[in-house]
Amino acid sequence: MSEEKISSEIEKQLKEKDIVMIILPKVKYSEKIIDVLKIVAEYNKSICYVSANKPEKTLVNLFDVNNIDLKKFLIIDCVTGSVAKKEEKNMATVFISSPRNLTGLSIAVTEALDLGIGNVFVDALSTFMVYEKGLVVIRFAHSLISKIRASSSKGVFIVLKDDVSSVLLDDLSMFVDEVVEI
Amino acid sequence: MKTENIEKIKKASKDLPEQWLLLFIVNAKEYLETNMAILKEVKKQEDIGGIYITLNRPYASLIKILEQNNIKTDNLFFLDCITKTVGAEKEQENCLFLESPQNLTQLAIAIDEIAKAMPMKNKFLFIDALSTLLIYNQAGTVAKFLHFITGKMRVLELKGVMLSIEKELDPKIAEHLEQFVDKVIDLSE
Repeated sequence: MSEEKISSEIEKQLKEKDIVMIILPKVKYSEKIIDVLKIVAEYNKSICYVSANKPEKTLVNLFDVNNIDLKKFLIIDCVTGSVAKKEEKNMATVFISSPRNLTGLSIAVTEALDLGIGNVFVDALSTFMVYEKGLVVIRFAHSLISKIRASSSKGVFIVLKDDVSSVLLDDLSMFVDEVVEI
Repeated sequence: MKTENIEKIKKASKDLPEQWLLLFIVNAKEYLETNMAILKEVKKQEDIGGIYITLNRPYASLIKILEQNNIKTDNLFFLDCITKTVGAEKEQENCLFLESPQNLTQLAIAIDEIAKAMPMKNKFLFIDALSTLLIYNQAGTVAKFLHFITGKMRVLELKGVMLSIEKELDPKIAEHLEQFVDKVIDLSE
């Protein structure tokens, strides 16, 4: 599939479906995550960005460079830890002590959904599997997806293909509305 | 979905006793589409009512998907094992919200009570999906539950449809299940 076709397929699914899982190969992750984020930012008024890979500071720079509207985002930063200072930008951030703290993360996302957030963007679900057993992360994802559905919001789950076993990918496929594999 | 698989779904219950139990092995990527196709086929039967056990999607989302697929829900009763886990249940006439996918005793009691209360003679039980039971419970516990529930279905004269994702079923459970059901239909290829 050409790059153009991939982008239009992602755009179509993100517009039509509530919960989408995007499977990225590691080599294309950095490039594609920005493309997906731009589409999500275009179609949603408010986005809760759960970052398991990059600290808030890096994200702010990345958003600046790529002209992504920071004001739309609430960031849940699972990387920086509770010791970091909040970046002086026009952006709200919640710090989670570690990617292992799935309970804290779940509470933070629930609060974001209660505020009326339109889209929860999880970058990347597979990173949590570095810290927790696959089955624990699958149950966490299932709970998160159910919360998003109950709030009539949307969700985008990024998964790095090489980091997740095919059995766990199958489990996740069952919970979402569409799987886009790049 | 492949034409070949659509044909397999249509012919699934052919030459089987009236109260058949079927296990469908589904490709994860076509899970939702296949699920809807199977349910449509089962509901084609005259004056049939069913119990739909939803372990993956909350009732509200499932209803939306069924409507999008033109599947009528008036003869369906739902046992929702998800919504209550996120505290979003709102009382519904055709749905019972159960505690969690781990509470198999509550699920078994609910199936028994709802099946007995349904007025139609022709009834089915739809389990969506066995794979999710295995995410929340140990394989041995699920095997015992399935043994109990398939026996119960025979006694209550319920038709049965169980879905599972390919590769997901523990080989021990798969072996047992083959004995409990009338037919295994592999739609994973």
